[in-house]
Amino acid sequence: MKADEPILEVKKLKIYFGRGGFGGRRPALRAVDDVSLRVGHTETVGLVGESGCGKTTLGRGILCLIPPTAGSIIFGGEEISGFSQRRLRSVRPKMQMVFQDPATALNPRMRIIESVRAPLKANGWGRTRAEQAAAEILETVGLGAEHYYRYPHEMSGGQRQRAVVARAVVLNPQLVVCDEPVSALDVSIRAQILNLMKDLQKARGLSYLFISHDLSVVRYMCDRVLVMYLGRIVEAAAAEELFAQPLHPYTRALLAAAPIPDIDLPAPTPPLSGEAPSPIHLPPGCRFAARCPEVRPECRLREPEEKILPKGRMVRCVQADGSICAGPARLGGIK
Amino acid sequence: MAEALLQISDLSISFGGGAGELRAVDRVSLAVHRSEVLCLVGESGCGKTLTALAILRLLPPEARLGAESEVRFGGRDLLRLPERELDKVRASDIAIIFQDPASSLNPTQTISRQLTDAIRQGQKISRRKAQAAALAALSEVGIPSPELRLKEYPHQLSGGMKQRIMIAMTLAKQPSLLIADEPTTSLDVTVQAQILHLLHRLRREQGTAILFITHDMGVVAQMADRVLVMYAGQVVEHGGARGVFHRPAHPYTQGLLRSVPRPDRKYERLNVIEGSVPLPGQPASMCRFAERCGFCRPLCRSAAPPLTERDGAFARCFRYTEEW
Repeated sequence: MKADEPILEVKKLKIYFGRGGFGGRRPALRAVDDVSLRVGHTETVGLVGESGCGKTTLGRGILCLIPPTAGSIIFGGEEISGFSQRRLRSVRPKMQMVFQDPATALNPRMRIIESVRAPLKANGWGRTRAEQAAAEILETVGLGAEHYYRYPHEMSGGQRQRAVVARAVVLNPQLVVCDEPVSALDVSIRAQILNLMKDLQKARGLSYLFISHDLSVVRYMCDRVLVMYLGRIVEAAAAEELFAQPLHPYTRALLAAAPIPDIDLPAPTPPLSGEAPSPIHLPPGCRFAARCPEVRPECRLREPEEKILPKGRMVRCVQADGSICAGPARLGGIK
Repeated sequence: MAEALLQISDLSISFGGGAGELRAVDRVSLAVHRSEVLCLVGESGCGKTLTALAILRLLPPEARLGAESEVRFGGRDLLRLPERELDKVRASDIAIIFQDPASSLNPTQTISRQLTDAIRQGQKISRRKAQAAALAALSEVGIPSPELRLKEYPHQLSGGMKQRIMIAMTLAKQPSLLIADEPTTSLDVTVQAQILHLLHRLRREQGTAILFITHDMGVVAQMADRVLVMYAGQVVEHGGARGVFHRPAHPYTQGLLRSVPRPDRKYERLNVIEGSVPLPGQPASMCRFAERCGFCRPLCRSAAPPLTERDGAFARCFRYTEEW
C-alpha cells in the first residue's frame, strides 16, 4: 500500500432494504444510493445529515456489518465488500466502531476491563498480556485502576463512553467509525470526549469517519465533511470551505437552522418547511426538490449529476457552479 | 411587579426513605410571569424534568414532596388542590409537551379523536364544533392537508408532525402556561427550527407563558427571556437571558457556555469542565460543584453556598458573598 493511498475508499456503494416483495414488485428502500467517498490517513471525515438520511447505514455498511447491494469498499488497499465472514475476521481488528449510546454499547454483565480486553482475547491474546494492554488503554482514556472492575451501571455516561472508546482503539485500528459519539452525553461531558478522541488520533494515527447531526461538533472534529440527504451525498468539501461557503441549498439550510449559543443573534426564520420524504418513493428529479427554497422546474425532471469543483469540492445541484454562492447571512462574516 | 403566573417555592422531591433518601430536587423556587419564556437549563439528572412534572402532580408515585413545597398558580396551591379541581387546571390552564411526542399520543385512536377529546375537556362544546376547532388548530401549526391528517393514527406521522399535533392541542386549549420539556431534542435541526418558530408565535399571538426545559444553550439563546440553571438538584443561577449569556455568574454556567462549541467558529481546542456530575445524595453541607470548580476554596467544601444576588441576577456561589 502506498502512503498517499486513502485508508478507505468507497465506490458507488448501494445498500437497499426490502427488495422485492411478492413478485419483486415492491420498491426497495434505498438507504444508501451510489455513495463514493475516501478517508485518508489520520484524516477525520464528517458525515452530516438528518435522521433517516442513511448515514448510520453507510457507516455500518463500510464496516461490512450490513451487506452492500452493489459497489465496492476498499480498505487498506484491499477490496473487502465481497469477503466471507472468515476473511473479514482478519480485517476487523483494523476497523472499529464507537456507538452513540454507551449505556447499551457495553455488556452490562461484564466489568469494564473485561469489555475492553474482549477484542484482544477474540484475537488470540493471552490473558495476562490482554489484561495489561487493557489496563494501559484505560489509563490513556482517563479511567484509573479504581474503574477497572466496575460494571457499566456503576459509571457515569462520560466514563462509559471513555470505556467504549478504549475498547475501539485497544487493537490499534486504522479506521474508527464514530456514530454520533457524543449525542447521548451531557453537554458538560461532550467536550471532554471530543478532546480525548482528538488526542488519541494524534497519538495513534487514527482515521475517523465521524457521523453526526451536530454541525458545531463536526466543524470542531473534521477535516472534510460530506452532507447526506436521502441516501445521497449532496455536497463534499473541506470543513472550512463548507462552513465558509456552503454550495448546496440543503447544506445552507442545515447551517441556518443550527442553534447558536449567542443571545445577540436574531432567532433564525425556519429555512425549510416540511420534512424529508420517504426513501422508498423517491421523486424522479432532485431528492431535495420538494423542500428546496431555490427549486427550478428542471430540478423536478432530472436528478442532478455530481459536479466536481476546484479544491476537491463536490456538489449535486444544478444551480451551484462554485462562484455564485454567498454563505448564509447568519453564519457569514462571524469569525 | 405584578403577581407571577406560576410561583414555585421551596420545592423538594426525594426518593427512598430513611438513610437511603435521595433528594433529587432541593428547595427549588422559581416564578414564571405572564407571556414570558423561562428556560430551565441543566443536564440529565439535575432535577429539571421532575420540577416540571411536580407542577401538574405528574410525579411517579414513589416520589415524595417536601412538606414546605408549594406551587402557586392563579391564587391556589396546585400541590394541595383536590384531584377534580386539578383536572380542570390540566384541561384548560396549563398544557405540557414532552420530548417524545409519540408517548403522549394514544396509538389506538385517530388524531381527530384525540384532539377533539382534548378540546372538549376544556370547554363544553359539541363534537362537531370541537372537530372544526381541531381542524383549525392543525392548519395553525403548519400541517399540510389537515383534513387527511385528522383521520390518521400517530404511527402514520413523523416525529415533527406528532410534536406539531401536541402543540395544536395546546393551541386549541389556549392555556396561559405551556410546560415544554425538551420538545425538540428528538427532532432534526431543520424541523427543530420550525417548532421553535411555532412556539414563539404561540407566545406572541396568544400570550402563552412558556416554561421551556432544555440542555441546549443554542436553543436557550433563541427562546429565553429569563434563564434558570440547575445543577445536581439545585438552582445555581437565575437571571435575565442577556445577563446570563454575557456575564454568567456561577462557575458552572461559565464553564458550560465556554465548553459548548458554536457552528460558526473554528476551535483549536475546546474548553472542558473536568470531572462529572456528582451522584445524588452528596453531603448537603458543601457546594455541589466544588469538585469541578476552578475557584474552589476550603470554604466551598465546608458549607453550602446561598443563592446570592449579583447585579439583579442570582448565583449560588460563595464568590458573591462577603465570606469570600
